[in-house]
Amino acid sequence: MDLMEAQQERMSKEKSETLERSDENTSSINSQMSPGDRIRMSSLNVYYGNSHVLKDLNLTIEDRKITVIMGPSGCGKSTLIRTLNRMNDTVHAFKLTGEIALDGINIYSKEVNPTLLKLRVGMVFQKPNPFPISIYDNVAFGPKIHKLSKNRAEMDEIVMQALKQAALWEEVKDRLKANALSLSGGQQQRLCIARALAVRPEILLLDEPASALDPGSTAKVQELMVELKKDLTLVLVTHNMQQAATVANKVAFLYNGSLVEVGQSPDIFENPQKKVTEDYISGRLT
Amino acid sequence: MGETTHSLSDKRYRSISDSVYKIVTLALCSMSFVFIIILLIVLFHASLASIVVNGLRFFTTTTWNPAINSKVISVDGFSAMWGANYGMLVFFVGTLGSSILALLVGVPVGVGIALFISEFGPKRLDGPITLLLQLMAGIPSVIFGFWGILILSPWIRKFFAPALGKYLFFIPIFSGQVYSSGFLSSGFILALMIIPIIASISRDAMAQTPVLLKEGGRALGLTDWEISRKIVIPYARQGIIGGSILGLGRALGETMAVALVCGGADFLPKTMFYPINTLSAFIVTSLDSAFTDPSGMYVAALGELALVLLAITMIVNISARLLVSKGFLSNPENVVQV
Repeated sequence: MDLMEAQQERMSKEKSETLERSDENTSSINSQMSPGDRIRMSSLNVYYGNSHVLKDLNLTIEDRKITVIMGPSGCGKSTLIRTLNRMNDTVHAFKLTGEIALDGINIYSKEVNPTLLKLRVGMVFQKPNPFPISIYDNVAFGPKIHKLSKNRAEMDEIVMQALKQAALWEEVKDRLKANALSLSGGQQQRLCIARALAVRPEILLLDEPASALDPGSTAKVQELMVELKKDLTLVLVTHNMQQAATVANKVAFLYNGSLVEVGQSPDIFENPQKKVTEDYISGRLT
Repeated sequence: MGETTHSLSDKRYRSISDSVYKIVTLALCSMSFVFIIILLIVLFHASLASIVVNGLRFFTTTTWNPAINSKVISVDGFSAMWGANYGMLVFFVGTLGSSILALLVGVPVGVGIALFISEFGPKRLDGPITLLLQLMAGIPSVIFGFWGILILSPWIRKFFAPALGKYLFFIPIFSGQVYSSGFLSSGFILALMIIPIIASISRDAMAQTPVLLKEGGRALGLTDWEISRKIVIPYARQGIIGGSILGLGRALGETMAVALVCGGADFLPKTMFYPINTLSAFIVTSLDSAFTDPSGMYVAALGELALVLLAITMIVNISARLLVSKGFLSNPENVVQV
């Protein structure tokens, strides 16, 4: 496992290069964080032009837990999760106030390189989006770009590890050279998870990862998420109540851009404090 | 009673206009095919004397000597001038050389413009740049040629060629005597003329790149440049190659602009600074004197040049289409590269 160590070392070096420079500016936030928190959003507001999409959110994401963000369509769930790794930067007229701190460092401060941030905070999208190349090359794509391996053997190891972690290895180990598009939808999504894992992120954002999948594949992805939280911090956006109840440690209910209720699972499902949460959970609100 | 339900077989409704419409449109459609056939027949007929008399020498020699002032003789049943020789190699080399140079300059610039419009540039500049490209594509070629002869050629002779000669003197094709018109001027003028084609087709292809794939790349920590290089360009490769080959087709056949700046050489170029001549430019500049040839062989030889040019452009276009529609380009394995 020398390789993994070497990789971790390289990644942590990158991390320190990326984020440590702004330490002085953010010491105040640091003191507010409890030890288990990885991400803390404080007074977070997001605007697209004139429309106010996220309103004054305060939320923490805990280490090696699954935090589920749920809410009806258009409530701002996707916007919220995409601000966590700065995927919204390129969106026209995107504006953000307040702070998102990753390990105490404001990820929107000038010192933070949004590209390197994405190495620590990976993302899986609603629709499987494998590149139209081989299974192997999909997983190797990130590590190649970021030069995480010295030679072919190391790359093989990275690819195998990532595919094993994504519970896809057994199904594809004999056809790594096959085109990724030949996989089923569920396999494609697990491949995308493997691709994200291959650059060794610490936090994985999943934006409705099972919404385009059949029930069997959905179950597999859910099992996988529970398995992954041993090593990673997960943030999951979903409007599938059952999925939320199955995998969540913490649930944040978002409605109309505001955080209505945050609670531990299963408390929030059994005993919602707010009327609108109860309505949503019982299916009266869509 | 009879009018309460609609009959399913009323002859009045089987309208004759439909049949007429089909026949007329079919006739109009087949006109392009018929026209190409007629064109080939006429060209072949006009150049038959040259094909028979000049044979393979037409393709392998560099001397174009009509010997208009010698005497008419009869060869293989066709009349020809005694001592005349028709070899197209100079024009063939000039045509291919200037077009390849145009591609070497035009493809990177065109793809760069396309990338700027579709990926990097601010949205509000898209419209003006596209309009500018369309305007550029619509400029009559004689104006390009006129500009080339007044501005570009002197500039190349005074500054660009000497600079190339100074820094790249160790490469033989960048050394020696500099002529004011020739290879470089022709290649650059052609590049300017094909850039709008390459840029607009590449831009359209790049715009087809699924946002999901680009986001996938961005989420893996790719920079804008890496996304363009690893995802957008490979995805748009089909369009980029298609646009480039269409540009090549245009460059191969371009006449007026090149006729003005090629230098009208009747010898093979030894360096990039030499004057050249192309198939199309030579045809247009020598047609007048061709009609003074009493044997008619000169006109026939020009006809054969035209036939060769037609064959080249057809082969280029057909192979481009085959390449783009079938073959390895449509194989997704080859679309995104690492």
